[in-house]
Parts: sequence; C-alpha cells; structure tokens
Amino acid sequence: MSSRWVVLGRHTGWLVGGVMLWVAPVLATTPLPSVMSTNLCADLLLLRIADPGQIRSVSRQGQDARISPVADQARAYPGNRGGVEDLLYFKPDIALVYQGWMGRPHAKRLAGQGIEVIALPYPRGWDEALQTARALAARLGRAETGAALIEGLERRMQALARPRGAGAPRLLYLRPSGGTAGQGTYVDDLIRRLGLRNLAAEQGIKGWGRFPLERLVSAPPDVFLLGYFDQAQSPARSAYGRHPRLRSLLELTPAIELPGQAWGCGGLELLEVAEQISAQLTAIDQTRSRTPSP
Amino acid sequence: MLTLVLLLALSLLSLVSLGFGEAPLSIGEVIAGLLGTGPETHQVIVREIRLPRLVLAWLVGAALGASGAALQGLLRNPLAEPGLLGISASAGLGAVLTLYFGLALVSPWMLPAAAMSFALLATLVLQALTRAGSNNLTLILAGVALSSLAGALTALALNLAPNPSDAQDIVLWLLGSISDRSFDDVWLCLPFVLLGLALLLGCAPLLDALALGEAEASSLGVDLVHLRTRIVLGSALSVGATVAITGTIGFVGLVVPHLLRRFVGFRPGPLLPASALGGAVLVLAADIALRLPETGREPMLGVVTALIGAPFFLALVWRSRRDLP
Amino acid sequence: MSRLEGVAVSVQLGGRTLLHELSFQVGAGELVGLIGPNGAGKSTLIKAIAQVLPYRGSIRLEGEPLERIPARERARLVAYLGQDDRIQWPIAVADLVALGRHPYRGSWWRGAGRTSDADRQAIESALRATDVWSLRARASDTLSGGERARVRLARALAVEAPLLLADEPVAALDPRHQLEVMELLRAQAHQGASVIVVLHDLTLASRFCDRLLLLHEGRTVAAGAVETVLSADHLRLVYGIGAVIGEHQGQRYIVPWSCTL
Repeated sequence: MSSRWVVLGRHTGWLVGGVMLWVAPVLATTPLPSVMSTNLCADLLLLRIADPGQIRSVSRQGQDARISPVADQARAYPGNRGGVEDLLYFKPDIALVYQGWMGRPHAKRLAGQGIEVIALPYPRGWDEALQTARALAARLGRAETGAALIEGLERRMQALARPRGAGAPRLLYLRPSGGTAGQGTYVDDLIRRLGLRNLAAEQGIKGWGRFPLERLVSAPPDVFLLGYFDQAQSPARSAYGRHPRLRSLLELTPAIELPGQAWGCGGLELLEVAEQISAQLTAIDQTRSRTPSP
Repeated sequence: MLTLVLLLALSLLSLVSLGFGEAPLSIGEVIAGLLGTGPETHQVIVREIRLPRLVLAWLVGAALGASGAALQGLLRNPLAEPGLLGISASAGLGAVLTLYFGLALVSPWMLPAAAMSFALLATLVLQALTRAGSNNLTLILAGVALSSLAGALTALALNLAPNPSDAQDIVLWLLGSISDRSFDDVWLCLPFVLLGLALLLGCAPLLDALALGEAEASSLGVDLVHLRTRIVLGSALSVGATVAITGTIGFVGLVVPHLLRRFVGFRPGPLLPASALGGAVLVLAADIALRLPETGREPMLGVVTALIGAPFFLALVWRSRRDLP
Repeated sequence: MSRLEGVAVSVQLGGRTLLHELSFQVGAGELVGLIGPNGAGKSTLIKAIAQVLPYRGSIRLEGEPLERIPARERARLVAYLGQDDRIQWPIAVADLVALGRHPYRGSWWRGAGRTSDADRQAIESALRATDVWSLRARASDTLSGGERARVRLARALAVEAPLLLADEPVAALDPRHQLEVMELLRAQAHQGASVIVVLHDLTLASRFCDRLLLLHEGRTVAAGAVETVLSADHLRLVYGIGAVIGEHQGQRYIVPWSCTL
C-alpha cells in the first residue's frame, strides 16, 4: 500500500475520532425535560436543582420579594399564576404543583398535551425533603448534580445533629395566630435533630395544632421559635399574638425569630434554618453564661 | 324579682365561665386566682386570660340585649334587633375598613370610632326608611338589604385589603368571637358601651308611653325626637364598640327581649334593663356552650347564637304568619 | 275669657291646606262637639290643639300660647285621645291606664316606677268611670273593640287634665256604652274640665254637647247652640242629607234619612 494513504487514513481517523469525542456527549445525552413550577415551594426546589435552561416558568409568588427568598433569581424567568391555562401556554414537559392543586381534573387533558403534572408532597421531616429532592432531580435528568448537592446538604445537617441532653432546653414554635408545630411536623423533626425538646410535642400536640394561652402561662418554654411574627398580620387572626401576657413572656424569654417564609415549605431550606437556630442558641447560651446568675 | 333572678344567673354563669379553660383549675383555685391569693400562674390565667373574656361577654350581651329591646320599643316591632336590621353588619364593615386598610395605625381608637360611625349611619338609614310607621315587611326588607350590603362590602374589602386576609377572616368577622382577648380590647370598647347603655337605659320610662302610638305618647309629654336620638345614638355606640372588638354576633337582641317580655308585663320600659342583663346571660351561656366539646377547635360565638336565634326567629314568624302582610 | 281660644288656626300638610284660618273658643266646664263630614278637618283640628300637628295662628290655654308651655307641663293640662286604637304590646289594662299618669312621674333617679297615692286614686276612678274595672288584669290584645276604646278613654281620664280632647271616642261602642261614655264626658265637663269631642252621631252631639262646631272643608260653617248648628239647612248643605229632626223629653234627636242631590 502507498504510505501516503495510510498516513491520510490515520489522520482522518484521528480527525473523525476527535470530532466524535466532541460530538458524542452531545449525541449521547437526550435534552433535559423542560419544567415549570406553579407555587413558591416548588420554585425553591426547582431553582436549586434544575439547570437554568430547563426552566420554562416560575410562579408569581416566587418572584414576590415580600414572601420569596429567591425573588431575584426567580425574576429571570417568566412568571405564572399556577392556573391550567398557564400550563397549556408554557407547555413544559413537567409541571410541578402542590398536593391540593385545583387543576387536578384537567390532568388527563394535560397529559394528552404532553405535560406531566407532578404534585410535590408536603414534607413531614428532613429525610422526606431529601427524598423528594432526589426523586425530582432524577426525573429532571439532573440525577448527578442533584445527588452531589443533596449529599452536601446532608453532611451539613449531620454536623448540626446533637444527641438530646438531659437538660436540653424546651423550644416552642409559635405563630401569631397561636398555631404551633407538634409531633409529626418538620419543625418537630428539626428540633429533635438539634438535640432539643419540642414543648408542643411534649404537651401532646400532634401535627399543626394550637398552643393555648393558658398552657403558655403554666408551662412556658425555655426558648421561643417565632414564625411569621415579622410579617403584617391579619388582625382578626392574630389576637393571640397581641395578648399582653404573650408580649411580656416574649420580653422575658429568649426568642429566636425566623423570617416569615424561611421554612414555610419544609424543603431543603430547613438546613439554613437549622444552622440559624443552632447559631442563635449558642449565642443565647453565651449571654446566659456571661451574665452572672443572681 | 326578675332582676334578681337574672343577676343570680349571671353570677353563676360567670363563675362557671371562669372555671373553663385549658388549665385544669378547680373552682377554689379559680377564686383564689381571681382574688389574688393563689399562686402567680393561677392569677395570671384567671385575671389576664379568662377574666377579659368574661367581661367582654357581659359587655356584648348587655349592648345587644339593651339595644334590641330599645329598638323594638321605638319601632314598635318585635322583630327589630341590631343584627337583623344590619346595624351590627355595618359596624363590622367599619371595623374591617379600619383594620385592614391601615387606619388603625393612626390610633387604636380609630377602630371603635369607625365601627360606631357605620353603625350610626345604618341606624339613621333605618330610621329614614321606617318613618311613616314600620310594618313588619318594610322593616325586615330594610334590615335584610342593609345586612346583605354591609356583609358583601365587608367581604369585598377583605379581598382587596393590602393587609393579608382570606376567607377565614371573613368568617371571623361575620361570625364573631371573644377568645384570646385581653383587657386592652376591653378598655377599647368599655367607655362607649357604658355610655351607650346609659343612654338606652335612660329611655326606659319613655318607651312605655310609646305603646299608645306616637301621637298620644307625644301628648303625654314624651319628646319623640329626643327619644329617637337617644336610642339611635345609644345603639350605635354600644353595638358599634362591641362589634369592633368581637365581630358581628346576631340574634341576641331578638331572643332576649322576646323571652323576657312576659315577665315584665309586656311593658317596653322595664324590659330594657332586664334585656341588658338577659343579653349578658345569653352570651355568657353561649360562650360556655361552645367551650364544652373536647375538640381543640372552638366554634365561633356567632354560630352558637345563630343556632339558638334562627330557629327562634322561624318560630316567631310561624306563629305570626297570619299577621304578616 | 274662655279657657281655650284658637285664632286663625291654619294647617297645611303635603301641599294641601286642611284648615283655613279657623277660630274657636271653649270655656271651662263646656262639652263642645266637633262635627262635620269626613275630611272636614275635625281630626286635624284636634291634633293641632294637641300639638301633634304643626299649625299657623295661635291657640291659647288660659291665655298662654300652647306651644310655649313646656311639654311636661302641657301634658298635665291637655289630655289627648286619638283615633288610632292600635296598642302595640299585650299590656295589662291597669298598666295601660297607668300610662295616663306619665306626666306626673318623677325623674328616673327619683323613683320613676313608684306610683303615688294620687296616681292610684286617679287610675282607679278612671277604671271605674269607664266600666273597665273588672278588666284591669286583662291583656290589651284580648279586649274587644269597644272594651279597648273604653280602656283608652280611661287612660285619657287618668291624666286629670283641665282640657280633654277626644277624637271619635264612641265610634266602636255599642249603644249602651256610647251613652255611658257621653254621660261620662258631660260629667267631666260639669266638674270643670273643658272637653272637645269629635262625633259622627248627630243625636249624641245634640243631646250631650253644650255647643257645637260644624266644620266643612277646613272652615267653620256654624258654631254655637245645638239648634242653630244642627238645622235642616246645614245638614243639607254640609252633609248632603235630609234628616228627621224631632224632640223627646226636651232633647232633640236627628235621624239621617235620605241623601239629597
């Protein structure tokens, strides 16, 4: 054979090989499914996990700076109000809704249009939140990035975990309406992970119940966890929060105030909240140890 | 005699009401807490949590009972009462506008002031509509119209309000509640309720003469304009101030005078103070009743009074269906 | 000077003039009958005197303009018995009649509820005079029309006022009670009260009244002695009737007989 042809063949081989190596990853992967989210909690998860190119639309709530911690990030995308028409307009491959979404009767029609509706469950604890995140990441084709992210969060959470000590302080989560978080809520889960005691759970409250004012007087917590107290309140429903007895208790007892929508969704943001709580508790302990006891 | 019985019932129910609550206090502990001889926690529970609720029940009941009796005497109609006639609903509208549109930030007194103003407006409208004799039909129609209008405007206001609100707020306002109130709330309405009650109770001797008709009453020396003004003002003040704090609570002003009428010889005059006491008894009884079930969620006070009052109203209508035009 | 004197009294209501500059006088101890066809203005005049309707002109009681007398004092001087007999609540008869003592009750902080002896006496004599003493515990909604009329009259009598205005007090009564009430009114007049009574029954008017005032379309047609006022001409002119006029035991009776054209 002529050596010139062999050399040409080899170069071509390298060229083709090189091109294939370059093109292969693109040819090998299918494009990521497009996705839109229709409420704030779904937005939070989506913006963490998804590739920016996948996101068709986020909810208007997510873009509202008053209630959304990711408003700036969310405004890069078109907003939607979570209605069926919005889904049909944006035509994503996947639409994230909440459990009680109004458009459920239209699921068939939407499926016919190629839109898969996924309802994100309301998490009852950190583990569930992680599970949901992993499952969604897989579904969105971001299994690897998702896994890495989630692993990192898990590690940080484990760093915070403490065994419950005998003299662990009793925390009470309160909303201005008198609502609290008892057994089986993600708030309760969080408190236990941090090695603390949930007063509401100890008092036998299950789920999202009410902590009566009288019990507050007879069995006050060591530390208050205040949720939504910084936001403008519906006057009719916050009579509890205005009661002078509660106010004076709040002045005397250390309180950790969490910004309104910090953890309303019970999703991955729980970690940041846990870190905040942990930090504030340490600060409280330090002030307590610094001030000499009478 | 009737007064004595009512006072006794009121005292008994008051003690029972103080005994109700989340913390399991015995009657002795309640009294100790009230008098200040018991442990501090008991005192706080009784004085700062249970007592305001009790006082509010007195005020609301007295206001609704007295104004119901006064309006019935003035309009010479047994179906007149602030709830049915839309006075309570109008006061609620005023309160909602103040609370949800930020006006209450100007001063806490804006709240009772707005509620009383709207109640006054409603009473004046009713007066104007029923000047030339108030037969049942005109009065009920006027009341229904006013009530519906005020209720719808309240719901609309809550929908458009810049402050957060939703359907639950509408329910709270239209059905009334006295739970989780403190003495701050009591002070906000107390002066106006007392003033309103004083105005109304002072009218008692004049209302008897009105049974003869306006012409003969006037010839007996009753100043009709003066009487009307006092009753209008008294109702607006007392009902408006309490609605601002508790939301609208209905039917008390209808049921109480009707029940007590036979015990005062059907005379509108003595009926007034009796209805004030009777109203307090009824509201207190309703408030105790709603705390009886063991579930954590209490029904609204207005629901209980409606459950008592609406069937009562139906019975009234049924019995007088021959008389209605 | 007559006890009650009205000069040029005019009443306008809803754009219509109901009384045109009427003048009248009623002396003490007089029973004056106010007669005339429907719509003549009889009730209007009574209401004007009772200060229930606004009017122009002057009405004086013992020389004092009535509208200037304070309401409370005036209530003791003028007792008004209106036409509307509706009593709203089923109040006991005794309590109803007791309302006539309303102008005498003390201010409420001085025990308004208490009835004095004078009150009790006035109420009892009123109840007996109108023959409703036996009904005093009955509720007002159980009374017949006639009984109710007498109870209301008793209420007006309980005021013990020097001037009594009665708008058709006998319209609902049976003949016996009609006579009894007219006797009662005449007795009141004899005791010194001035009584003005609106009547439709011309015989009763002629027999019991000292003087008559005949109204027609808001104006006085005739005033004075019964014979002069109740003449055949007046009856034809004002009422449009022909009547049988006769005499029995020195008193005139008038029986409306036919309609004139």
